[in-house]
Amino acid sequence: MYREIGKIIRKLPRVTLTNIREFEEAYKKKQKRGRGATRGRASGRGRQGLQHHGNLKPLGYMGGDNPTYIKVPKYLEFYRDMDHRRQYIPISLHRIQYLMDQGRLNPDQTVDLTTLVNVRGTTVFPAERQYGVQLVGRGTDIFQTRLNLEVQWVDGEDTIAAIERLGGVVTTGWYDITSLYWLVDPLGMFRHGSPIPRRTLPPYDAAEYYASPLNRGYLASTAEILEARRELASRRGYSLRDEGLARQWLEERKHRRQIYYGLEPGWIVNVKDRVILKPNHNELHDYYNT
Amino acid sequence: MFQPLLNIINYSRKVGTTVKLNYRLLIGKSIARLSPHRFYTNVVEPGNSEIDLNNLTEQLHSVYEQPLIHRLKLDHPVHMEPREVWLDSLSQVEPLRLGLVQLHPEVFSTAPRLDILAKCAEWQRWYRYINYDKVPSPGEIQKGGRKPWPQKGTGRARHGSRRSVLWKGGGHRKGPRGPTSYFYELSAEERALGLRVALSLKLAQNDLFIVDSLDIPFADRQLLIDLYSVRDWGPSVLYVGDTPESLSPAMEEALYSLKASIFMPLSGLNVYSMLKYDTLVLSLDCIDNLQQRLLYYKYRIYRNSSIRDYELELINSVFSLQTLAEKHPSD
Repeated sequence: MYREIGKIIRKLPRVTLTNIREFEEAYKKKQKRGRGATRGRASGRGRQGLQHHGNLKPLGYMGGDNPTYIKVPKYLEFYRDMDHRRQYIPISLHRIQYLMDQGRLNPDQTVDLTTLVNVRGTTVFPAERQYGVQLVGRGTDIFQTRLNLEVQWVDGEDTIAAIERLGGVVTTGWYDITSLYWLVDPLGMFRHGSPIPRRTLPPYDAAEYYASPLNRGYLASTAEILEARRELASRRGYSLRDEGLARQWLEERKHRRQIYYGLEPGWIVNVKDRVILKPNHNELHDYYNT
Repeated sequence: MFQPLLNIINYSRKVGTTVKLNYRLLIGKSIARLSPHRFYTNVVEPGNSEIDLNNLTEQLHSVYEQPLIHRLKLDHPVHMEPREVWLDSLSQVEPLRLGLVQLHPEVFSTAPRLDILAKCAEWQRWYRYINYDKVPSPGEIQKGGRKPWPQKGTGRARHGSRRSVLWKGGGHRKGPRGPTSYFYELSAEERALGLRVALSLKLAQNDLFIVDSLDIPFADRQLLIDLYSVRDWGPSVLYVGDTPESLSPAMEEALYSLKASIFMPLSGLNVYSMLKYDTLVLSLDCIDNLQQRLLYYKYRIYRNSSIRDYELELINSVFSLQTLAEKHPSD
């Protein structure tokens, strides 16, 4: 793209001090306080009139009675369970291929949400009840890499087929909000000095999703998922190649309590001294790993 | 290859002096494999049998058989290719294309952000400007403490001081008050981006040239003037070298008399100068340093003080040229 731009620029007049200009926002007059008619002295109440001298009531005020906009409740169906609703940020196969073409994602390593955030492929805000990333199928026609990918949701069969057709593996895993904070910002959380927490199991409305091999859930067994892969391949009409590698990747999936590859829950990571502290006691070990 | 020799003969001052064609000064590590030839010629009237021009051209030919390619050592995004520019020389008037220089695409072919250039040029103009205007207020003027005449009875207007705003010679209430500074900061990232955009535009508009060293055969401004006209370099030329010592004494003398051409070391490179001067000529020794520093400011992630030093090191090690393993060999 920049080569095309260069060809155009070559023919345009030379860029000098007289040819350059900032965007128009920089040249607009900025509104300043204390410049209006009352010169900032009227306490924001304007000049004369009821607004200035009198006691103006707010909109909707009904002389002291409970106002309509407070009395009438919200339509419950719209707001039921609002606090428990979840969001998954979409990331498309197109975007993942783009990142790999730029050299930001390495297909030789497993790609999970930590990797995606580190290469700035996506941004996830756990504080806004974003429970991770969902894989979306835009770009199934141009996706051409064998990849081991871990996301939090997949939008359907087409996307799964697009990855598995090339010999790749896609897995979905549940991360509760605490684990997600750790997943998305490892260094920031290591700094607190607390042990890596264990992931919780999915809630009632997501348990079935993650236990099902059709969604490549992390609670489904390797055998079930391999069977589902074969079934999908035969239905879609492509052949699976190198099932050995896929099996190896599936067996390397994270434990249901594990957040990071290579690190177990319960460990304390000391970045400054480059040291990891592991719990000795059996009870702690059982707590974190079962 | 006949041409270069004759040009130098034409520019000689005195018949009989020896002119040293100082090809040894084609410095740069990429050229180290050349054996240091020194070609001397007696400056004589054309037709003198002492010069064996045929032999000399053969020698010249052998020197320039191998093209010199200054390769890019830094990583670049996979989808962008390095830009290639001729490596030229100031040792003669005609362009002497010694080889190629590979330039980093993110430094020399960014998007043409003219607004960033405007911002950087304006910042350069204003950040060090101090307006020294100051006008005294009525209280700062000498005298004026006493009431000039009594309040009543004189028939004149009532006044409290001779130096109030109403009076001639009095102070001013709303005048400029003392040295006013217009200092503001533009982030390092933005300034680095401005430099990258300016370099990219110079390259795109055929105003960027790279020379092996800032050295000319002898201190003569006419050499440079003819060089400009043959190579179509603009009336104003900005030479940039790595350090102040990059400029040879001969070149310094020649530039002294040329008002529109100046030299600055790499630390002085700025957007305003690049836009002001028509042609930008970079010396080969400053290319690596320039690219490395500009890319550092593009890619460093955290400047937040809440990030600890050891975390910063860990993060920035991904984007530095030296990996952590090289930095801490004992670990």
